Amino acid sequence: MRLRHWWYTIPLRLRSLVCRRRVERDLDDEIRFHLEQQIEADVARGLDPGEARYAALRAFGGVEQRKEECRDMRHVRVVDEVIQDVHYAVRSLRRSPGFAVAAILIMALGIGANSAMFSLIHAVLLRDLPYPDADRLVRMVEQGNNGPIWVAWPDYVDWRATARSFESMGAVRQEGFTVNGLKDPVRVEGQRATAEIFTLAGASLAAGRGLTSRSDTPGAPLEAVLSQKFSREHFANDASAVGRMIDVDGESCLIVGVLSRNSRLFMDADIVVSFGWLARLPEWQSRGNHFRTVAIGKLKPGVSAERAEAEMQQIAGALARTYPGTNSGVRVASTSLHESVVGDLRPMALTLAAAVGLLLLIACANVASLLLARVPARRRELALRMTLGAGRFRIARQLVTESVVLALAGGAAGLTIGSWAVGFVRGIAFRGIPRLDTAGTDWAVVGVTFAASLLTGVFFGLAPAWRGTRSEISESLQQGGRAASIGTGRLGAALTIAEVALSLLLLIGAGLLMRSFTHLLDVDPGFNPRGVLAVQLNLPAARYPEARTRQFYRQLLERLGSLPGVQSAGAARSLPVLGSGWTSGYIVRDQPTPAAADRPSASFNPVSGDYFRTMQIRLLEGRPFSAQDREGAPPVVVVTRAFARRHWPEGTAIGRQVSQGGDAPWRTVVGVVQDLKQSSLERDCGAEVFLPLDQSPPLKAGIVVRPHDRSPDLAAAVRRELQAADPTLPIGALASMGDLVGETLVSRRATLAVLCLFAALALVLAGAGIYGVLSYSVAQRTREFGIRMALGASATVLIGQVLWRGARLALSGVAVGVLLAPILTRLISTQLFGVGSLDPITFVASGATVVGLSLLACWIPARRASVVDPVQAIRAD
Amino acid sequence: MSKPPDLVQGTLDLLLLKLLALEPLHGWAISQRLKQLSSDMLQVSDGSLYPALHKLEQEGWIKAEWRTTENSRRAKFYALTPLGRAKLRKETASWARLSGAITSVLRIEEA
Repeated sequence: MRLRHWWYTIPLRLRSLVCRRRVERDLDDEIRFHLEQQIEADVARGLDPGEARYAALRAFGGVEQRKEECRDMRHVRVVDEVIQDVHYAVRSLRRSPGFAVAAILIMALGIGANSAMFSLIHAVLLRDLPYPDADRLVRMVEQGNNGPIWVAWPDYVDWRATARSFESMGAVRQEGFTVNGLKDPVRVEGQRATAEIFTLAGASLAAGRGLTSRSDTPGAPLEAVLSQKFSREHFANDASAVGRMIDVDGESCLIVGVLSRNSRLFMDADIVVSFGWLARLPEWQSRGNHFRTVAIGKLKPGVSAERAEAEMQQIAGALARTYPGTNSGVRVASTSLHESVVGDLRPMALTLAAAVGLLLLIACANVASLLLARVPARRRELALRMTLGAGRFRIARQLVTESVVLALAGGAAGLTIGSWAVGFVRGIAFRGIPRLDTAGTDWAVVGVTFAASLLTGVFFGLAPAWRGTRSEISESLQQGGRAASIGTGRLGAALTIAEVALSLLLLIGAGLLMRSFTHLLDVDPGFNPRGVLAVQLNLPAARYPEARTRQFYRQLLERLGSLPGVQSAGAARSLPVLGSGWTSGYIVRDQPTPAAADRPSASFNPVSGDYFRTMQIRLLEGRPFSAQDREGAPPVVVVTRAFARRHWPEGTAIGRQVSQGGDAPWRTVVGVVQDLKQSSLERDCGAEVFLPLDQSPPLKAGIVVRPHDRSPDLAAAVRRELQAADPTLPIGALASMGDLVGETLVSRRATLAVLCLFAALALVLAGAGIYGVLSYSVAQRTREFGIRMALGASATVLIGQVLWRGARLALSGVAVGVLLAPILTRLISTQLFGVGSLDPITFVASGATVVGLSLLACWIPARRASVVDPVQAIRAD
Repeated sequence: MSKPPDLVQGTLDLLLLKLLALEPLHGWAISQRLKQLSSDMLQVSDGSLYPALHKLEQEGWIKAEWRTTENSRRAKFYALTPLGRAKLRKETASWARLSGAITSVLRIEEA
């Protein structure tokens, strides 16, 4: 029944709203018809036409009022009034353009920052991953007692065969390849994947086909699928790439397909190669080796993640019982794919979101006080309306409508500013932040911005609305407009205090992060990166058996070392701080041998003899590697102090022996060097074991060259030597070690920059707020100051008074801010380094800055108070 | 004759619905018809007629249509809708109950 009711009424109401003029005309016509009929009837009865008309109108009652009643019945009055309010608001804003522009700019700033931040957070954190049924995708690796290790290939094969919870499972591994067979040899970031990965990622192909399960079986030839970008760069078109043979890391490989532009297989890759012959290698067949492989599975519909995890633990347990040597204690670590991608970013994102929210609150407080300050100027107008019959609610609604109009205008401007900001951030292209390049202004962003504008408009409109409708207003009419200031009173002061407190919070947050950052910059990485050039090399396994690799390094380092301008040159499998290390479990002689999963692990790093000298790593005990530590000589190692302390806290490490277990030989410790940071300046130095390069030459290495001070740029010479050593090797970029270390701090630097920007903006707004409040107060009290000066008060006393008023506001704000600060600093405590969350220096410095800035903002109004001309002030009204 | 009492809004609605159930009418005709049928007892001030009609239209009980009268003038004719017919039935029954109750109270003999 209700539905039929709406069916009739809704078109009618829409019509009343939309075809307004026609409805009005109808009403006019209808009433005119009635009156004409009445007049005719009366005239027919003998009345005079004039009399008849008069009588008809009288009988009808007030025509306009009746029309209004009819309109009431159509329930369009509210909408009408709102539209009226909006027009009125726009007109009154146009009359004070300065105020309108200021308010809109401030709102644009606050809302724009929020809009941009939401856009980024939405793209990076909130949005679903672009794979079909992404919420059912799970990432699994193995977990030993010392943390996550990757997945051993035979374990993955068993998982896939026995797990019942998954509809499908695949393995994927990030890898760099050297590709030959194109115009020039090129080094690419790629991945190895099994066939299922293509369906799990919902990848679509622009040409050819994906990998098939046939290509995963040991013995099958290598197949590759290219990214569209790669195929366009090196082939005429996608179709012509299919069927070509290329050389990948020395093995020949058939291109079977090209991915379409927007397809990704869980990681950015230019080329996807099948596991193929890798799975054949003995080291891949061992369950003790975990080579950076990740398993990805899709849960069957209806199977919960917990159930799947329980099943996987059972499978792991069964494997541990069957293969106690390698798998005992090894469990499965599974996380939803979404979580594994965004988990690390959450703290930084939340910090920035909180900061931007604070900025918006400050902007609202600022605009609210601006609006409040306008109320006294309008008190005649408002009082007039109230006496003419507008209810308090109506006037309040009018004022709130003005605020909403301001906020929506600010929001529209803010959306534009926000889009520019997002475009700018995208252009900087921070590495390591996934999906940042997909951030943009989509409907979600527009919707959120609109809602935020609406809410903030209502929110900051409440204060002036409340102020503007107080009954004192009507009294002010009677007093001829000379009422005492109603505008900025306690409410205005409260708003200013809130602004100061919030900007103090932002300043403290920025200050803490800044101190963390400077501490990080001071951290001793264990070596001297200044001046050192570094370049990465990757030798393809197929063409570099051990003997040739050894020879290659010997020759290269000798030639590099003899270049004019070079002080020394070295090579290491993993360079410090960059996190490219390779850890392995090990055992110590004369100490009990634990099971495989319980073994401690350390970074095992083959380095050349001159490496320590090149990197200026200090030797603490014993000797570095020398020419005698070549192939065939007794196996030796040099360890870091952390390693030595771990196992031999008393006494010396020299002469002790360690081994990587299994068939690996016992190696004797011949030297101890200072600690190095392996992967990040923030984390503690790990234990590291250095092996002589000659005894275990690696296929991947970083070459480092230290020039003499004030040598000309050696990059070209080094490049030439590398090319001479092997022309088919692609040479990566030569970078200074100092730059590379700096790059690890990029995301911190970015967060800090943004936070400092926000803090600066907040301070400007708060300062403007105080300035506004005090200016206004001084303007209101001109008469009072004039009188006092006439009575003999000196200018300095008056200045002091105004300054004191401002200082009181600032100090109250600082007090409130300091009280609230601990709650917020706890949120960022995980990102602090070297400073506590209640660091007194930061708190004091921030407080002093805020108070100082506030006093500065007070200065001009104070000066104005002192130059009041007493005679003018008293005379003027 | 004493001044006829003003009609309460609810009963006015009921009368309008009944009138329009008989045949579609325009506003002036309604006011004439009402005077006629009640022998001048019920009078609606012309002005309060139209707000009532518009309200009935808004609620969906009557619908409006512009037509030409016998004198070739354009007028807005109102007619009952099915919803309105149902409403009329309901209100008539409820009016009967109400007046019945009042009558039975008034019939109580004074002691």
